[in-house]
Amino acid sequence: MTVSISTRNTSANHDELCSCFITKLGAASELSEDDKTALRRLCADYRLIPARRHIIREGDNPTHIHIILDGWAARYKIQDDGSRQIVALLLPGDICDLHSTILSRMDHGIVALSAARVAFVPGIDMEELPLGRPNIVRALWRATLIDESILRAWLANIGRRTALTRIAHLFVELHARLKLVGLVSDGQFKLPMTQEILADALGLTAVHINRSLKVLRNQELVVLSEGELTIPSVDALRDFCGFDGSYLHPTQLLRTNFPPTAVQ
Amino acid sequence: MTRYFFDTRDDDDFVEDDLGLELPDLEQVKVVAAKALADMSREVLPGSMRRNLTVEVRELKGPVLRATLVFEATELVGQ
Repeated sequence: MTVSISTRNTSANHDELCSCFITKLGAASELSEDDKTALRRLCADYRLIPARRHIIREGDNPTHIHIILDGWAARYKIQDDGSRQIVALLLPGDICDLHSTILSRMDHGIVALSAARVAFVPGIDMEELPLGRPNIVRALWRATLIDESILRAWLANIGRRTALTRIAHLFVELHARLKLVGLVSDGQFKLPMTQEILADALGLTAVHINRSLKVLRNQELVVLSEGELTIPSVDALRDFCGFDGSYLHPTQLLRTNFPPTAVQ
Repeated sequence: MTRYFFDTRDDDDFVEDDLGLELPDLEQVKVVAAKALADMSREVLPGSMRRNLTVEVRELKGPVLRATLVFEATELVGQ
């Protein structure tokens, strides 16, 4: 059964499609035009994954690295009783499984939350890309480390925050991550998460998510409608949950940057 | 699958469920109601001495379940 469209496409459309990925990686690393071209070439083979379709399953031994070019996906684990915990949200520009050239077995599954265009990068291409491109190495490394710090923040969020601040914290984080790749406009962004998906991401019941969202709405801290989230005042929402965004390591050009690489 | 609506009540604060959840059977409804009460209690019990939390579940044909959590704390110092 074919559910994906594979295409090799090097037109301006493809550049546009890769823009979140390039923007995200280039945010704090000086990437040369040649580096960027190499990264775009890496994403030449991409497929459209429909919402709720799996990109990869727990236990798989992937032959490709997957990069979210547009749309959203989620990392998740399923318990014996069938309940699901979403352990991370993958946004445009995020790499799903960089580690799969090193760790062969997936310890979690990845599912598309919205229709998503996902680059399928052969493992060998990923291994060869960084050779002679130290700025790309740093950028990839940095992306992985920030994924880790986000995971720590999520652990603290789920472990200790109560529902209202837990939800608020996630919304502020998503706002920051999406803003970095140019997907926020006037405090508004697409949020392809039902209340049940939010519940799975935050370790709460959908019932309590529903109740809590009403409280946040009544306090005019968030506006949710038709799959779009609007934060009227990000500062207000940040204060509400005591959000400290330093774990996202906002852009600052690294002090020890290698000069942009020449073509090899 | 049936769509069930979980209305919640924290003392006098009643919130109607406008969305509902699709669940396979009453057993799952009971599980969700219990977990929802646990979520609510984590949020509002700290700082309370007495509280009544209730989840009232209905579907199109009418109400199907009421689950209540009664919280009561009594200081024993000096007794």
